[in-house]
Amino acid sequence: MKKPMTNEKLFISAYDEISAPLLRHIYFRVNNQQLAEDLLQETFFKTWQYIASGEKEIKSLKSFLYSVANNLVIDHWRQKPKAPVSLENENMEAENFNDETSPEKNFDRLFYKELVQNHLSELGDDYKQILLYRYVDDLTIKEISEVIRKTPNNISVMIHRALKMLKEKINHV
Amino acid sequence: MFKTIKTVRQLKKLKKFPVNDQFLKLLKYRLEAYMALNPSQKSVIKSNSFLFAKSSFFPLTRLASLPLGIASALLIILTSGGAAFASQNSLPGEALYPVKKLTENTRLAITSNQESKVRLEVSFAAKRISEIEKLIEKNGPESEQIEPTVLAFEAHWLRAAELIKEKGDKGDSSSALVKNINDFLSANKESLNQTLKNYESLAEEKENDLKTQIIQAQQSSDDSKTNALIDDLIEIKSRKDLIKLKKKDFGDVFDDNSPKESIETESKAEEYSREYLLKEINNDYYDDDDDKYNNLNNDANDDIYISKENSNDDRDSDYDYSRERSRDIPDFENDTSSATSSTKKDSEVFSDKTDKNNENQAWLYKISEKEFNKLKEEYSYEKELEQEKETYRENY
Repeated sequence: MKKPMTNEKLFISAYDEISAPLLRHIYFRVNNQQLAEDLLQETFFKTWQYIASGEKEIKSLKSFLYSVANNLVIDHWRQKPKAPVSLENENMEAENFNDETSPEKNFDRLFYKELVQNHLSELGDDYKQILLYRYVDDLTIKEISEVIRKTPNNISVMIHRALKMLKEKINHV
Repeated sequence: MFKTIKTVRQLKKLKKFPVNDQFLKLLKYRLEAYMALNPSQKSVIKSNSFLFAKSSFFPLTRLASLPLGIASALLIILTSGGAAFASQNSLPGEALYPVKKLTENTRLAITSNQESKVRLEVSFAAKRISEIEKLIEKNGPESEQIEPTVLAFEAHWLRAAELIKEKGDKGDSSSALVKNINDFLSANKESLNQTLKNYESLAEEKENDLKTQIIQAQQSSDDSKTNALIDDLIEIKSRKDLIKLKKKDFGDVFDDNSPKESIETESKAEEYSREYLLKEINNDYYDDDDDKYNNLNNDANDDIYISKENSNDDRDSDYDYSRERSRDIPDFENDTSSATSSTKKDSEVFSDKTDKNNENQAWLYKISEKEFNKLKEEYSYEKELEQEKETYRENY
C-alpha cells in the first residue's frame, strides 16, 4: 500500500465532521428526508470522483462540499420545477419518526418543521439558503461567497435582508 | 428592539434538528468501499478547514464553552500569566478575544447580587459598542465581526433588561441606571452614525467616479472594460447598501421608538444586475445632458420636443430624422432643407439656435453621432410612453 493516504483520510474526516450538518442543510432545502439522503450521498460520491480524477486542487473541502450539494439541490428543483410535496410522503416520514424517536424528539421535530416550512420557506430559496449557511451551518461570509459565488458584501446585505424578513414573519404569527 | 437576536437564536436551534444517524453510518461504509475501488492518485486537497480550525484555534475557541469550574481554573492560570489583562484590549476575531469573553463570563458567574449583575451586563454591552466602533475604524464597515458583536451587545442588553424586570420596579437605583444607559447609548449612537456616514460618502464618491468611467468606456465601445467597471460598480453599490443597512441596524438597536421613515431604503436585489445598472447609468447621464441643455437654451428644448412629436409619427421618418440631424450638425451654416417635413422643421430649429447664441452651438458640436442616436432613442421612448398614456386616457 504505497498510495498517498492523505486524500482518503482527509475526506473521511470531512465526512465525519460535515455529513450530519450537510444532511440537515439539504433536508431544510428540499423538505423531504428521502430526497435529502439521496442528494447527500450523491454529493459525497461526486466529490470523491472529482478528487480521484485529480484534475484540480480543492482549496477548501468544506466550501467545495457545500457548493456541490447546493448545485445538486438547484438541479433537483430545475428537473421538477413545481413538484408538490405529496401528502403520502409526509405521512411516511411522520411514521418513521414515531418508530425511531422519543415523543420529546418528535415534538422538537414538529417545532422545527413549523419554523422551516412556514417561515423560512416563505423567504424564497435564496434567502433561506443564506440564513441556513450563516446561522445553522456557521459558515463564514467568505465561505458562503465561495459556495454561492457572490461578493462578500452582497452576502452581508442578503443576510441582513433575510433576517429582517424572517423577523417580521415570526412576529406576525 | 432585540428581535434580531431572538430570531437568530431560533434559527440556531435548527442545528439540533435530528438526522438519521443510521443512514450516515451506512453511507460512510459505502463511501469507504467506493473510495477503495477508486483510489486517488494525486493529493488535491489543499487544506481541510475542519482539521485546521481544530488545531490552530484550540484551545481558545473552546475556552468559552467549557464548564465554569474548569474555565475559572484556567482563568486563574491565564490571569497569573497576564493573558487576561492583555486580552482586555482585544477585538472580536483576534486570538485573545475568547479570553476576554471568558473573564467576563466568569465575573458574571461569581456575582450573586442582582443589581451588580445588571451593572456588569450593561458595562459589557458598552464594551461591545466600543468594540464595534474600533472594528469599523480598523477593518471598515464591512468587517465580518461587526454582526456577531452587535448580536452580543443585544444579548447583554436583553439579559440586563430581563434582570431589571425580574427584580421588579423596586426603586430609583434601577431607573437611574436605565437613564445612565440611555445617555450612554445616544452618545455612542452619534459617533457611530458619523463614522458610517463618512464611509457612505466615500462609497458614493467612488460610485460616481465609476459611473463616469463606465460612460467613457461605453463611448469608446470597449466592452470588456465596461463590464469590468460595472462589476466594480456592483461591488461598490452593495457596499453602500451594507453601510446603509448597518446604519439602520444601529438605529434599530439604539432606540426603541425611532422614526423609521427617515431611513433610506436600500436597493432591491434586481438592481445588482448588469443590465439594470447600465440602463440606469445611461439614464442619469442623459438626464444630466437635458439639464445642460435647459440651462443653455430654454426655448430650444421645447422646440425639439415638438419636432420630436412630429417626427415620431412613423418609424421611417424617425430614422431619417436622426440621420439627417447628425449629418447636419457639422455644417449648420449651410442648412440643407431637403428632407421630409419633420426633418425640415428640425433643421429649422437648429438653424434658429445657431443664430441665437454661439455657446449653444459649441455644445452641439461636441455631440457625436452615436450619442445623438441614443438621445433620440430616449426621446422616442418618452414619446411612446406619452402615446400610451394618451390612448389610456382616451379609453377611460
